[in-house]
Amino acid sequence: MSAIKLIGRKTDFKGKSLWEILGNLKNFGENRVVVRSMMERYPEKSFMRVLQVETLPNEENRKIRVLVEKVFRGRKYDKPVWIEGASYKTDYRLLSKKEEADYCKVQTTEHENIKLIDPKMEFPPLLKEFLIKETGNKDIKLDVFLKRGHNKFYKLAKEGETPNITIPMNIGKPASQKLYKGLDL
Amino acid sequence: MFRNYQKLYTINNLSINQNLAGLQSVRWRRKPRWLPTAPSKVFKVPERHVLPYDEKIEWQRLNNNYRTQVNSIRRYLIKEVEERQKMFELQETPADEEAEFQRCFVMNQEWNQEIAKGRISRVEGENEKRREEILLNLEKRKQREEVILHHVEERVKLEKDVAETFITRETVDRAIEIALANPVDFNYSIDTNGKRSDIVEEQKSPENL
Repeated sequence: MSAIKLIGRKTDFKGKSLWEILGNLKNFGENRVVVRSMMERYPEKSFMRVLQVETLPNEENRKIRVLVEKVFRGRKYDKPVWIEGASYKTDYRLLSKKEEADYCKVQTTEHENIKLIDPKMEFPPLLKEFLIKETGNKDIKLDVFLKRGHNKFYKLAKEGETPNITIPMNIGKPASQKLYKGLDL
Repeated sequence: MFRNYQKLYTINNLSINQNLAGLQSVRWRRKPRWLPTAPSKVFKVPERHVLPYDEKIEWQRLNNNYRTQVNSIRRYLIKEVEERQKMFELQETPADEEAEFQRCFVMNQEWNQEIAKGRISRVEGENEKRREEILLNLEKRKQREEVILHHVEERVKLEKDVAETFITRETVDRAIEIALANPVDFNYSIDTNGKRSDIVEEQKSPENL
């Protein structure tokens, strides 16, 4: 057999499309667990348990409609989710029945590593000067705005909670000191 | 096809000239998205850039912070504008509106009066000018008519003088007699000045016949 040489762009996907996996299983793989390899980069487990499968017309990228019970980063969604638009992506992996018990073990509603963000931050310097002139209040602070979502891993600290993180108005504390060698940050 | 478009959109068609006058400015210097892949790029696989881990996490941190900053400031400004709008709306009562209307109305009246003064003087001046013009025109017209009348009278006088020689019903017999008495001979020669070269016979009146 001759060697296969792949030509073209590299892809981040790893695995098969949902049609390739579920089409070959008994009962279209109901009650089996599939994993997106893209989600395996997180330390917490993410997986989907197939509840119901519907087929769609055969097109270039074969899609199907799958109702799944979704767990994202260890948190289970309240309602089952339909997958259709992303079903063609060759990024799914079927968990063997042996693996399942181990993989799907941990499911917490509250996450340990959630970031608590200080709800107040500094104003930008010029705007701050203006506001101090206008109001006379030197301790004026800006309200932090964060996008809301049911699967976010950060939230604003409420009263009584001690925030982990304060959003800086300057360059802040570097994540990798190596890049700022010789600078006192 | 692409090559044709390329001529339009790339700098290849710049006239290469030492002279600055030959320069041509180009607005788009690359292929627009809707054109197909260039023939020279069909089999090119772009290199994949992978950031080192250190840089990646730092880049992510900076970007996250930046977006949060911008969103927060944006929200703050939106809120501020809304509040000011609300304050502005609250300040205005019906009485305020009425007072504001009265103020504007009075001001408008003043402006109208000022403009009216100017208009009256301007219109007066214009009327005066027009009157003068009309008078001048009447005078001119009178003169012109006088000249015409004079011409007409002269002409009438001339015609009256000439009319005496007209052949009427009464004078026709006499005219015939004169014509018969004076046969005209046109068989003569003229010189270069148009004068007759021979001696003209005197006209004979019927009395002399």
